[in-house]
Amino acid sequence: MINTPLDAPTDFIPSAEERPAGQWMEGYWVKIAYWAKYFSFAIWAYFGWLTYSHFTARTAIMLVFYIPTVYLGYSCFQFSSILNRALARRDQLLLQEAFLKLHSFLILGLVTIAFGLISSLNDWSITFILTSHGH
Amino acid sequence: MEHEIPEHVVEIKGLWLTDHLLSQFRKCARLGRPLMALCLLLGVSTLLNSLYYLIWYWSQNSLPATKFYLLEGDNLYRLLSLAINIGLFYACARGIFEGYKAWRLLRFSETDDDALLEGTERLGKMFRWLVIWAGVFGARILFVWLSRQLMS
Repeated sequence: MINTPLDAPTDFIPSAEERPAGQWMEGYWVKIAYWAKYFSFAIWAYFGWLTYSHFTARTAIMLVFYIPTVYLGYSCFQFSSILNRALARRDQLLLQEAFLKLHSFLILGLVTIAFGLISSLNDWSITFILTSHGH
Repeated sequence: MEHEIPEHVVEIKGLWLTDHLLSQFRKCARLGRPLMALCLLLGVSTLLNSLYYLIWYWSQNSLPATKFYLLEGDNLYRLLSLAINIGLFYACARGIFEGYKAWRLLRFSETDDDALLEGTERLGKMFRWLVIWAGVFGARILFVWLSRQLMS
């Protein structure tokens, strides 16, 4: 039977080929968690601004297309906070969970960008209408 | 009573580069690269749209051959707007560049420790540049809002 530390999750036992992450990797993860947290706040702030501008322009229905943005911010925040907790507690399972959240963040990023590209096509059509009809 | 912890048990404490974790990095990298490519496409489309509109605006409102006054008309607004847009596109491009490099390195990090380290470092830089980009974007929104308030 293999011993594990008492405060470590019992279902994590590294194999002989696996290696510790080391100081450099952990240092980079600290930086990733720090900036990802602020990026999630920025995404939410962007959604707040979108909500404000669409409500003032009376086009609130358009907000439906920006719902993935809220989840994008949430998954980014979760990634950051779980990664921070994993680093603080030195918990391997939390570390793996954090990168699972990063994967969800990337999927949502693809969805958001797809909506962004549709919105960009709409911007182009507005620009063409404006330029063909003058001021 | 003092307990002695065996040496190999102490070594387990801490974070490990397990096979599972490394495969998660590669899984993220498979999505990250196309995401960065689409971000670039969106950024270029937005940039071209702005430039097209700007060129059209200048062609419609050709500048007078007289002296240029910064505080005359909306010259100050247009110059500040241009400076903010340049900052916006620079920060966005840097974020996409760092992200693309990070995901490319992490994709091939299975047998290359340097790629794993550099890829992880660049991932942090990607998030930092994206935060800077978001900050400049916020400044642009504030700037447009303030100008509208002052002009009205």
